[in-house]
Amino acid sequence: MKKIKINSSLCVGCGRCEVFCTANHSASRDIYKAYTLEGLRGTNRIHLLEGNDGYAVQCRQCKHTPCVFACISGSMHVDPSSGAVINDTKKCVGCWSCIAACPNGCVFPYHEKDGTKYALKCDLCLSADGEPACVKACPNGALTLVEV
Amino acid sequence: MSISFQMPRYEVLRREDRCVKCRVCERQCANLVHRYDADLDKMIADEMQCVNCQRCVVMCPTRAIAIRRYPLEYRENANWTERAIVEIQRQAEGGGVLLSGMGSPDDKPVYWDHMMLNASQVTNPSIDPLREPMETSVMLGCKPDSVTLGADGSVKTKLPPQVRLSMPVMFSAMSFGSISLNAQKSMAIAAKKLGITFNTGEGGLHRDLEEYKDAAVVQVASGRFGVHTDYLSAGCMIEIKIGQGAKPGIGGHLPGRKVNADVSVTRMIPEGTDAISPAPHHDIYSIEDLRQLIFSLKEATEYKKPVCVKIAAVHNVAAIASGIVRAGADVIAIDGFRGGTGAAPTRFRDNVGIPVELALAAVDSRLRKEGIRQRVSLICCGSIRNSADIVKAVAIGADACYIASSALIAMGCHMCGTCFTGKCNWGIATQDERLTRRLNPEIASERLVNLLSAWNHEIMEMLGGMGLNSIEALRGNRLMLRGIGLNQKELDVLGIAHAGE
Amino acid sequence: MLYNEGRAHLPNGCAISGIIDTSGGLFSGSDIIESIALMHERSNGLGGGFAAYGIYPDHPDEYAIHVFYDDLKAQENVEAFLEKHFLIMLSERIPTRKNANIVRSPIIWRYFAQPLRNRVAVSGYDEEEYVARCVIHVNNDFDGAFVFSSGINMGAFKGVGYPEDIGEFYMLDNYHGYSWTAHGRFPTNTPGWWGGAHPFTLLDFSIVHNGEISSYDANRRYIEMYDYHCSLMTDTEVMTYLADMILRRHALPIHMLPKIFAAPMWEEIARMDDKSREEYETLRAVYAGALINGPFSIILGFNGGFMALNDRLKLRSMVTAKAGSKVYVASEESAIRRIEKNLDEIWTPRGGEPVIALVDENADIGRRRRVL
Repeated sequence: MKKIKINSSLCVGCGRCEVFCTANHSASRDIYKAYTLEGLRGTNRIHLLEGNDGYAVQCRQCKHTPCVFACISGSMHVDPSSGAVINDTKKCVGCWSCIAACPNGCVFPYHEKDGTKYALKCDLCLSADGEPACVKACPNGALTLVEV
Repeated sequence: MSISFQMPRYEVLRREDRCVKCRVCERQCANLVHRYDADLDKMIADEMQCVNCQRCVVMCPTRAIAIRRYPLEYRENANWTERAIVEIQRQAEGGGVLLSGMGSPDDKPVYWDHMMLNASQVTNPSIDPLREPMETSVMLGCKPDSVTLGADGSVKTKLPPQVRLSMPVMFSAMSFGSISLNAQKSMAIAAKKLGITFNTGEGGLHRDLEEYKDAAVVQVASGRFGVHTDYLSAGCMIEIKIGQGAKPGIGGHLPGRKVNADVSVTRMIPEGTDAISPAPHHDIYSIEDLRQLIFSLKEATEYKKPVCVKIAAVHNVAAIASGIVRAGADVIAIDGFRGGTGAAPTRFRDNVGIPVELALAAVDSRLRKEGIRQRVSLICCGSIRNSADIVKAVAIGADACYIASSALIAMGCHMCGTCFTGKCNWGIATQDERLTRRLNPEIASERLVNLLSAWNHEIMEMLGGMGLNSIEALRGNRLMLRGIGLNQKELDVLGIAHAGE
Repeated sequence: MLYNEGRAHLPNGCAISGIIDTSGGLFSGSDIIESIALMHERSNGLGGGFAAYGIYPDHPDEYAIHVFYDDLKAQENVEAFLEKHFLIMLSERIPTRKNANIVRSPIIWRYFAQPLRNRVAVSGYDEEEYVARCVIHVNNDFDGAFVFSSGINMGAFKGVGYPEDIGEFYMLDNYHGYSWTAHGRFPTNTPGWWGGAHPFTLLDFSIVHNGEISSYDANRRYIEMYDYHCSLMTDTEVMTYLADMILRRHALPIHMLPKIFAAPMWEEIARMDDKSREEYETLRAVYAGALINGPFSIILGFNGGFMALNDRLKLRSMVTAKAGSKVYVASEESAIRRIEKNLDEIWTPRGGEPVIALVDENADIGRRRRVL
């Protein structure tokens, strides 16, 4: 089972991970279209801590999955084939229980323009293309995909 | 209060059809050029601060940025160029000596580009490096003129201490202080992997690099920063830096803002003070003083390490080199006027010294004429940009080449030339922790290994093309070179014929 | 005519052959002529030559100095010099027979001379160094003259033409020696010059060579550091000077010469035992300037034997054979079988592997060079 690890001494605080995460979860897979046409600004599942020169926060794929236990709708689940913790945003009702339960602060609330709301978290780019986009985009090797 | 005449040198071109206001450029620019303005909901640039380091260009996720020369179009004047005018303006405002980083950008002849190599055809076969062994390894050090035999008929002579290199390239001196520890570490890792050496420069050897000390050339410069007995014995060779090509006649210069705690400990100087090395070594005022220093160093290291003397290429370099050989040096490094630097007075960088191609030719010929060429190995430096430059340098007479700017470029340097500000956005010429972390030694050392492995292959290909399978057979083999677009005097100094002859 | 050769480095395509009787028995030059004649197609008629050892038993202590002169004035000048430095016992034209294919020959002369003892003493050199210096001086500084042989009890015979014609011309069938080497040349640049043909000689060292060395200028600039001057700009000249320095001045044994000229690769040296590895490494480091790159196939002759050697990549052909006390070396097997049908062994040496044939210790062949 895999997870994304951050080596904070290598993080240069650029924020490219956020941009590529957003684009990789878009329909167009194009950065410009994702931000402007699709309006996906803020849907990144990895967050750079502002004012800090080297830390990006993303899901740690906890073995004891507190978010799954907290979930009232069953949208937050462990994907049977990959073993990753994923939130099914179609089922999610936006109660934010998972956000409260997460010990690492890496689940984020998202409101669409029409009022729909759901929790966003890293899904190891399983719903997108191959290698996690943030790992590929990191210029300094601070983010790596590791076996747990 | 009056107004400054200084205008920006570069402008930032931002494509609005690409920029998504992600602010990566803002976070990455140490010169604070980019800013997100919430009122305008736009990224804006203060181009006055831009030094054209290209960090934002490379980091932008959508490649929305390009840096262009600021269109400061003074009336055309071949004599009063924009640069000539701007430099006067700066001095009129600041009253200081102009300082520059990296090697001279002036439009003076690059002789490497005027020499062409031979290839074997018909009368002599070229050799295929993919199918035949091709030897590029080199031994630097003093060699005797002949061998003596023992009673059993075998060779009795023992070679004096040598530095063994897997290829004729070494990383040149760049001090810890002028560059970051991560940058030096990257070169140390790469040197060890490749079987070559890196050089401490005049900043001493940081304790974190001790595991790489067998690949280190330790430098003793005029400021004697970081020099103690363990330091001398640590490396595989000791280098006495008399001068460097970028600023012949003056010593090294590390601005105080780059002297942090770590640099202070390694150099053995107070934090925050400018580290300005004296112009001469104050114990070398004549050639015999150099002989005394060379032998002091040899005594201190029990004659186990070869001693190199690095000089800048100046007018009487051949005579100086001859003197250095007779003073007991095992290796001589000749640094041409194009050599790079972290900080040098602009006037010295651009106007003092001569091209290394000519200096190397003159020194090699002079030492052979005096019959003392075997006593030293020659290292050539002062802008070696690619493997062809190395092959040509060896053909003129060098044993090996030092590279510095090439190595920095491989690690991320984009030649903006503002090293002395300590705000290197690539984490190379800075001690600021927020910037030095940008240079990951694992990644940077791999880039260096890639670069030099590629160059080694290219050298083998060129050797094979000339019908050679060993680099010794190329050393001083000037018939392998022909000049193009050179006058007779230049050809004579280089000791080569013109193409067509 | 004399400076054609010195302006540019010329390539050499060609043929070589060598025969030695290790018992010291003397045989005529007709064998070697027949051998080299078979390889006619390898030459283009612009140069041929021979080195013969043991041919002047009546002059056991005199240097046989063979010279080409363009004209009588050149001869006068050189003879004046020689008379000041040597005691000339005999001075004569080298006898030749007319050959339709050999034209425009220079004046070809030989002197049997002994160095003047007092001049040798005053010079500070030993006898051989003295003679070598005199020869080099004549070749560099006297216009219109070229000393092409200067050893004791040996001689080189060469010129412009096919080697079999040259052999005929010099009447080599009338000479008897224990060792013969021959060369046919295929120069691609100049019309060929008598002095430029092979072998090149200095004292009793002679080299015939097939190939073109890529390391030429590196070798030349190395040897010129030690008071040799390469005026001909040919491969044989530089190789002969290297052999002279290493074997005579530095007194190294003959088996070390191939370790220098055709040193093994570093990979191979790394696999050797400690003692050998250190020896090979030291030789390669000290004599880096004498490493010869590029195709070569040489026979180095000297008083008492010869050594044949190929470059370490074996880019030129060379075959060796034995029959009784005779050893044969040639560019082609047919050239050996032509003159000796019953061979005890025949083989092809590997690149860098020398064939060293020495005359037996107790054979009486006059002055011998100590090479072991």
